[in-house]
Amino acid sequence: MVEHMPIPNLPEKSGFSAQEKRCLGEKLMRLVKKQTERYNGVDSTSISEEKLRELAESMLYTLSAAAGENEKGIKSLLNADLEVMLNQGQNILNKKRVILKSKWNTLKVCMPKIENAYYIGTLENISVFFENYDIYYGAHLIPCSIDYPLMRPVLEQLLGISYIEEYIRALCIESAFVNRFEKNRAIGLYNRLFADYTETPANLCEPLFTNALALAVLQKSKTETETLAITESDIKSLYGIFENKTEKEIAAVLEKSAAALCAVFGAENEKENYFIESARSLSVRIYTAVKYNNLNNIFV
Amino acid sequence: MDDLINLFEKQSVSVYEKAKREIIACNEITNRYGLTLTETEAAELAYMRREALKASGRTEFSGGVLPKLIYALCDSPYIDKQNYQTVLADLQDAFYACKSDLSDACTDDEIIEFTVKIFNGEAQGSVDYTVEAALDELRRYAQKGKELKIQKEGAKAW
Repeated sequence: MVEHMPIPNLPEKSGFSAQEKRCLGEKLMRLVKKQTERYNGVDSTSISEEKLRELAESMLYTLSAAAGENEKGIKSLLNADLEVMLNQGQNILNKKRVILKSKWNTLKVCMPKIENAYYIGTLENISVFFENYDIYYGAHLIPCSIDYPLMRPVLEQLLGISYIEEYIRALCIESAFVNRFEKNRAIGLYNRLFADYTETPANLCEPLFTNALALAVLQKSKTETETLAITESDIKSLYGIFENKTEKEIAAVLEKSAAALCAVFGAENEKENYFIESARSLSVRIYTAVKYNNLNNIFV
Repeated sequence: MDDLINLFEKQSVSVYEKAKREIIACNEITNRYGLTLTETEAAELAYMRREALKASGRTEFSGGVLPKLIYALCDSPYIDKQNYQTVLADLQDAFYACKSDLSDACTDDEIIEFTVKIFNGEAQGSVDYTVEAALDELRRYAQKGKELKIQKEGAKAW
């Protein structure tokens, strides 16, 4: 009879031998049993398979948080006392929660003063996450609803607080960008795009960034860029720049312009990377729009 | 995660042995009521426990709930040497089905308490009646518990 647990979340290139995987599986199984006993307490001798899966996922996520802070990485699981590592992981997640809540509180104060139900609602909903996040038995879960879409969506594979951490990070970057522009200019742009921007589940940063990027491509001044205004003449100039270019070449132009835009607005490091990646992902749309002669669907 | 569940099924052989031992150990107390289980009967009950868990989509690391059921039922006027094993097997099945049906809203002790009360009372030893009536009552009890919880949370928020 074999009593070991195949490790479902172990990365393919983890470097574990078959024997190491087996040993680790046995250790993990003993820990899952203990976690189940803690969860059930004296109330129940049995547990549903669904709940068992959840407990195991939570445990693995927490252990990975602890392993992430160890120089040996995931290999640290092999020789460590997993209960000790689980406690370490829970402490790490708890600390993250405290830091993240502080960031969220700051964001609420600094958020763009634009009335969009999805932005405001989602920001409020994140409070539910902090109230209900269970670092002991549901660390991998995201107990709140996130409706407001980001310009660059968070990776679906991220779990628990890692997802919220990335979401808040991106929301902070985007919100700071939106705040760069006069409220009336931003609303003017939203009104050209949406029937009712206050009730549309659309990203507020993307339209501003897209137009600002176009103006950066055209090497307009900071003052002109801040107007977000794109004329017919600008559109013609943009065709002149983008036509006969491959998608890769368009991406290169956009990345360079995004970097210039960030320099003008003082967005550095992770913020700069965020906008450069966003610019790169626009290249497909622009390439297609140039082909079908509808750039003014992108730059409004 | 399906690997995890398969693995726990594989290791259930050792839990099966543990369950059997725990059931036999109950004879020490139930002897006083003229009730004992043979090795074979205990083995069958332990096997049926495994099947009941599978059917209800549950897992258990310890020997199981049977010892609790046995101690709760051993002084029942409706159990004798003839029907002892059968009643235990049926109520064990019902127990795990109940746990899943109620989504763990009731503890083991609550389910056993309700079941035994009905079995010894209005059901007069009928397992079928017990199972249906107990489940109804437990659903109401769980719902009441949920409503009380919501009320408490509402009062707290206020």
